[in-house]
Amino acid sequence: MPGFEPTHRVWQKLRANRAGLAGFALVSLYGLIALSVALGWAGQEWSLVSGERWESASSEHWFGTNQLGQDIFQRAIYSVRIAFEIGLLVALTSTLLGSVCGAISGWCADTWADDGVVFITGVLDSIPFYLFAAAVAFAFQASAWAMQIAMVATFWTTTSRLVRAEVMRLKNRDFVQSALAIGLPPHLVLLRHVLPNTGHILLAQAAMVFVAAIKTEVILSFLGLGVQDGVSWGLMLAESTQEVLVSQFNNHLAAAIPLLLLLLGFNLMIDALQDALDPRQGSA
Amino acid sequence: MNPDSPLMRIRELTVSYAVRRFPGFSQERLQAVRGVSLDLHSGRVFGLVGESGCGKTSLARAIIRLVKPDSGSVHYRDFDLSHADASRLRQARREIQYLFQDPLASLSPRRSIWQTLLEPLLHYRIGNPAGHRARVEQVLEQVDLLADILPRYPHELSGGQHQRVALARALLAEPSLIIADEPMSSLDVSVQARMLTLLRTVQKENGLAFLFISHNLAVVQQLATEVGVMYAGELVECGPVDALLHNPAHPYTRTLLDAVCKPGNAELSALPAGTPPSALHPISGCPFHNRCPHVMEHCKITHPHDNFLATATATGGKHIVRCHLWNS
Amino acid sequence: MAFLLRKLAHGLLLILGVTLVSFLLMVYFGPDQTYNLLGKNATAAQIQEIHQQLGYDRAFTSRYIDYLHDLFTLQLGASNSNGEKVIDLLWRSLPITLALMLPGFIIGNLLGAGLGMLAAWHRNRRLDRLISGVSATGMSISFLIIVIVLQVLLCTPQGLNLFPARGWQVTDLPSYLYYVTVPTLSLVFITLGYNTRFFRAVFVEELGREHIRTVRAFGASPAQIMGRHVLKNSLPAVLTRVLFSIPLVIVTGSLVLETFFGIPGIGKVSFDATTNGDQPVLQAVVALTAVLFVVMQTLADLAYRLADPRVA
Repeated sequence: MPGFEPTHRVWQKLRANRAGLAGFALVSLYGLIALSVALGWAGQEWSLVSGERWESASSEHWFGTNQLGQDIFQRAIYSVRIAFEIGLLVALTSTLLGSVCGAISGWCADTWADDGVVFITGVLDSIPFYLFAAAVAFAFQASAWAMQIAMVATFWTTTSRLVRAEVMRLKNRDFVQSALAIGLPPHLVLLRHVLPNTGHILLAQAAMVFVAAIKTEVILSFLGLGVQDGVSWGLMLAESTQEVLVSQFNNHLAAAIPLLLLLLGFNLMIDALQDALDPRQGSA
Repeated sequence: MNPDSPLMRIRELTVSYAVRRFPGFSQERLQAVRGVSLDLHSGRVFGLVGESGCGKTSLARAIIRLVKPDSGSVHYRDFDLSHADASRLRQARREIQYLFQDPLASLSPRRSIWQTLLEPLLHYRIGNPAGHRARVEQVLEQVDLLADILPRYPHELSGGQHQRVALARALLAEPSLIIADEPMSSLDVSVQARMLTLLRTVQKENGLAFLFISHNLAVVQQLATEVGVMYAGELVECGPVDALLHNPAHPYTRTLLDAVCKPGNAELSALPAGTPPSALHPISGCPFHNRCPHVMEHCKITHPHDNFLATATATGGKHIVRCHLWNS
Repeated sequence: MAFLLRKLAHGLLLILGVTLVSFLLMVYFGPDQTYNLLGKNATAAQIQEIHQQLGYDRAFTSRYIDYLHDLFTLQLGASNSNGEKVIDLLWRSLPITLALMLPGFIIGNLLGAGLGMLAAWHRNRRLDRLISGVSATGMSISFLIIVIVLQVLLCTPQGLNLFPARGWQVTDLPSYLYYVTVPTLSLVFITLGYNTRFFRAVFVEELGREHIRTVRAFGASPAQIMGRHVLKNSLPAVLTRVLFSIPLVIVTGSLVLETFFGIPGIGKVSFDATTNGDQPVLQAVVALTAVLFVVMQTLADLAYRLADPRVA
């Protein structure tokens, strides 16, 4: 039957996808680093001036030091935590918002509630993102959350649109109608019978938002609209734009390579996930 | 309650759907069911036949208010479903269960059979939780299923098993009326026969009222005590099964019966010639006039009303036909 | 005709929506401009006067209507930082942005279409895997890294040092090429992964169709198939995407590239406005680009309809 891939088949396909597994392992590794930074086991000395400016790599400073004499390795490690913080927060919030709005909109298709949600997503999609982020930063001046607010406000619309389409499709399926026929109230029908079947969309979409959030942070931080105080790969790259002009590449590489690997891992994982969840593809 | 009074009385039920083009712009309405009246009795099977798209399913769904009817009334026992409050409606929905056309599609794909079967017991608060397992197994036995399917998921079962699970789910709610919307059309012929026997046994054992919907007159004939024929959203003829089969009054019913009698033509989708009028743009007069072999001039102008035929029968059921030929 | 009216009504509603968002964010709930304009030691009378001028004392709807009126008559006020009229500022910087972005935009799309076509033609073979893999990697690299690496390679003494690292002193064609090359290369590399992936998906879909397979079976040459059948049929999808991406690529791309290379186009103007809190400039850019996007979107819908009459 089209549209549903049994869970165990999904696992089979996922396990058979080597690139996807590699991606998953990579992302897990980063997750562990982020966790150990959050628990205070590593990367705590990111702001400490512990050496001279632009020291080269040594046993004391694994990646050398930056313009101010801060340890680049510490900063790169701490940035993993910041990236995960932003990614998780934005992915979870926009998935939640997108699935709730999308579900309501799809369930009440062709009513004022649906029109409202569709209109709002249309409006938000029409404003180029970085300008929207600039506007939000302007409106919430000095708020550390401006970046996250802008990201969530933009990223939830895609989730909402996908969930809406899926809910509209599911709503007319007999199993939903039969849940309604036994008199289950609509919110329970949505929760128990409809939303569990949108799980694959939510999972893939949340992962994509995570990636988008990390990439966007880099640009926004470079533009001065991102992380306000602290350190992130974006801020490190922004610092390094001056340093590379005088042949100091440590800061740049220490941010660019981990960022590239994390995004690559995530993209491999998402591709594998989408392949596995797509019932049109034959079994692996 | 008077034993002869019907379990359910449906009067002049009309259903239409809005076809929307753009928010705020004009809407067109698609007429799915037009002024259908019929009675359902405990212990009896009402067979509803008609070509696909004639409004059978819309009628069935409007009865349990899965779609909201435009007008008309549905009385279940003593209360009016069309004006029932939420708790009354909930009570009625427990007693009126629904079997869907595609049984696999009617089972939630990510819930185990046990979860699916438990839902009516929990939702309607039937029995105490300690007894749920025993009750479920008892009903499974009634529908010829073994308890080892309980931990499994719908996609792991066969088509026949799906419909049995759906039937078990319906029976667990302890209904007095089951509405079965083409419950066998998605099954293999060999499985169909066994399912038919099962349905008949279950109906007799529990003394249920059945509204059995099918496009296959041969199947309906085996199960039904009364038959109704639908065409273009209207109930054009209804009556006791013998009367209707042996003395069909409406020209449409006659063409249906001819189709069944011809060998190799058990399905009636191909006949009669011509197409029913579009539900978006209904034709004037009798909806069958463009295909009717006995069409008269005023059939094209005046809409026929229900005529009661005097040839009524042993069961005491009324034989009603909506056709100008029978105007007295 | 009904379709046209519906699309126009839809577009108008969206324009109201986007202007409302920019009004809410930047004017209504935006930071109080009083002290920015007057300095710290303003008198009560001055404050009241400026409040009246800015409309802080009036009702929401009347302020929004005024805002719309000003926006559509292009009375955008003057920049807070240097007093230049916003409209003049935009007119001055827009041509620079277009000159900067267009070559990269066009080359990026053409190259993406070429690679996508190649990958689609050799679907699931080694060449396709290579192209798809490289474009997936490309999408994993942050824009910023691409820009920095290209700058180091081409514009600094550590690299080839062929082009300028910053600036825009364009007077004639050679100087234009001198300044535009590295930003153009950056834009091409930034967008190439996305473009290739998009075009590959479109062409794969089109090549899978029954009639194309028939033509293929009859032994038509690749060029014939691609030119006569595939390209023609995928034109609506391609056109839509190109039209849609114009405002996004131009705005987003110019924001990063112009800031990085110090080029005084729309992107740099918006960046400066953001850092200086220059409200008149920023709100004009936000509202006008959003309106432009809606207009593009509506045009794309109409074009799609004209190209493919089956779309309802």
